[in-house]
Amino acid sequence: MVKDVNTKIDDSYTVRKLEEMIVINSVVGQEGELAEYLRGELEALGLRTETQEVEPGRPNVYGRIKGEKHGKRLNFNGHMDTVPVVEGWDTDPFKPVREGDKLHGLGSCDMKAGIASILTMLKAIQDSGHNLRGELSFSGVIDEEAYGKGAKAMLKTDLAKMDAIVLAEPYPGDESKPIPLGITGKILYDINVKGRAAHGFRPHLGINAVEDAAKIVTNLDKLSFLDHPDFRKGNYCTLKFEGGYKVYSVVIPASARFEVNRLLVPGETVQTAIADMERLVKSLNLKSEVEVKTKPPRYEAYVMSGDDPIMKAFDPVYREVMGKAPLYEYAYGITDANIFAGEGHIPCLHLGPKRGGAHEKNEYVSLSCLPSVSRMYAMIADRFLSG
Amino acid sequence: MYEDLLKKLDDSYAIKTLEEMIRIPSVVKEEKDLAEYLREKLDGLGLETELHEVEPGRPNVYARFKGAKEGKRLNLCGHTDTVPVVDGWGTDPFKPVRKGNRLHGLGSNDMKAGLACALNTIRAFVESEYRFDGELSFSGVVDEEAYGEGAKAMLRTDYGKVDAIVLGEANNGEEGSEIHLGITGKILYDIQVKGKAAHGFNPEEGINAIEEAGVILANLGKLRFKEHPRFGKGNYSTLKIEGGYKVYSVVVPASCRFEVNRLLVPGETVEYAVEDMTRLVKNLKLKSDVEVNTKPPLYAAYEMKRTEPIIKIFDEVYREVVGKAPLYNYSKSITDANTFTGEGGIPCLHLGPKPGGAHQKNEYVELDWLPLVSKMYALIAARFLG
Repeated sequence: MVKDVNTKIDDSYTVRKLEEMIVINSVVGQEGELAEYLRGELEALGLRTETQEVEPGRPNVYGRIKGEKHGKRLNFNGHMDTVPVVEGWDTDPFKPVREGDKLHGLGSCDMKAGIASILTMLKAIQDSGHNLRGELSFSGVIDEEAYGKGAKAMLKTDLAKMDAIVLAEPYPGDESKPIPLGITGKILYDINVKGRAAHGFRPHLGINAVEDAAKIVTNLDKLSFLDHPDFRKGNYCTLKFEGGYKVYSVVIPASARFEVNRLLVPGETVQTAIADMERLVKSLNLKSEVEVKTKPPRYEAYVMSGDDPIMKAFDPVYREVMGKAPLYEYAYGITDANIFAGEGHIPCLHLGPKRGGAHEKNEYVSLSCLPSVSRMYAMIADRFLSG
Repeated sequence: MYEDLLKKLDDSYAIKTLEEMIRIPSVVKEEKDLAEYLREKLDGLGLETELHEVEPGRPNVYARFKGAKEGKRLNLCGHTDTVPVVDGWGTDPFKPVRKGNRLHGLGSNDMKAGLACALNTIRAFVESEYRFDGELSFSGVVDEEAYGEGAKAMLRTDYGKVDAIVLGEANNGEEGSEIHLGITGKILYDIQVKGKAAHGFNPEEGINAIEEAGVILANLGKLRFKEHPRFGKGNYSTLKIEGGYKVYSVVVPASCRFEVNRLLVPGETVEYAVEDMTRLVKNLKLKSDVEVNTKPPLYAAYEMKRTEPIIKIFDEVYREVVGKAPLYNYSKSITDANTFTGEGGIPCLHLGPKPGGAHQKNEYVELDWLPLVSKMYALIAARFLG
């Protein structure tokens, strides 16, 4: 099948779709217009499409090609949202601007080029008239750059029964961004400390919530970090701390709040992490009352083996197309795979173009990457669904 | 000799005035309404009154009346502001609520009861037409609970040249609320910690300014407090901290700021205190850049002698009225006396009701002490201006 399909891959179609998508503002929160566009494109390709309204005006969009025989189900996924515009763009972030091999635009590499490459692969499969086994589908989800609501909503549909998902995020499998064999989880601790007000000149009569909170912050290194054979240990980072007067007066602060980001390795869950912080706080014997909560977003860790069917389909394809072995790693960068694999237990492959300043000004994608990406997608789909 | 004067003291007037003042919110920065109320009351008693803007919308209120001949000048003073409402009040803080001997309300103790007793005393002087020399005045100053700008402004007026001031704070000469023969000074450290931003998933590539600030806070006990023969040691309390993202994003915080109040005893200067903190920070060998500054308000420590005229007169009056010897101390409680005495050189007597949860929820004043306070004010004024 693959040889036929690869002859139908239209690289100029990829670039055209990518440019059309850059023009559509889909900053996180405003994915509606791009979802409409994608639904239209998928329908034009002859896929059975549907949308799922995750929040008012913010739908996920799905498209499927059902094969004639029963078989595995494979989904190619991309998030439709981009980060907001940061300061300093030299060009209009919503205008695709070519600069040699680079195509600039907000979301170009993260991740409209990946989505365009999927569309190209689907078009090639439809144009080749090839009959698949099982089911090949596309999912465009909202909110990856914020709270992962799109991916969570997708797990509530029948797409949750997927056998594997290929995320078209910009992971080219080289030193710049190896392929994740697993990703850390993460929680955001939200800790409230309640002391007792008193006159600030008689501190012994009060309980200083800021000073007690500082004691916790200084002792965060006493959290228990599991040493994972592949990930080693997770980590923590205090992100915010506030407490004390709003209008100046010499009062012992009765309350303080701080937030700590914690990366979790497989074996550590959100529950074990909360219990860990509670244990640490208790051991400090503070006079304040301390409430340990978490704030969204929270993500579970996951890990896969190289023997996983999707990885076994991927590895030889990469070697053939790229002419070298792919690099793998145990990664720290949260993606929707934390939801699909971490919560949904669906094996995930991240594969896409090279990164060019994602989340930064003047983001771009290298156009020369894209032809191999679409071809790899087609070959992976073939191997996985026929294997 | 003083019977006519004392007969004109009216305890129900004092309580009624106190209740009216509790109903007028005067949280620090919003003293105007109370200042106008006081001006009206004093004007109604026939005093020469004025409002004097310290800052736009925040006036001090002054009132005076002169005696028969030239003589000493005595000022009865109080601050018109209260602290803000803290959490947990069982009743409306702006409604005077009586529970037995206690009257609850924000500022009841700190210090509207003192103001009410001062008004009671002045009214008694006016109604009895008591003969005195010199000048008896009243001042209600703003901002004591914050930067002391009201007291500082008063020093710049003619009232800044009085011979003694009676401050109606809740010091009633008993254990736990002794009369101050001296007060510590104070500074507010303003400490900025500068780290280095990085992605929050790779914290080792950045320098977390919040976590390093936390180390300083946890080690504040290492500040070196000098031991003074009468004051003992100063103290510290962290008042505020802020650092981290404005809009959520997982970034190692590159900066953090916090403020620590420190009380200074005589012999500890502002320079000493700043060097002390700088040394403490240096020894922690942090990765961050730390800048140690101070923020206003800054107050000087001061000490008075037992032989100071206003103190001598007070001591006699207290023994007569209360029937026992008053207790004195060298205090840690910053008041406007740090400005009047510490900066201005004017001897100050702190004398007022029993303490009752100032700066805390459900603040109250014990009503049975108010007649004693008014009586003492009257006798002290009569003798000082005799």
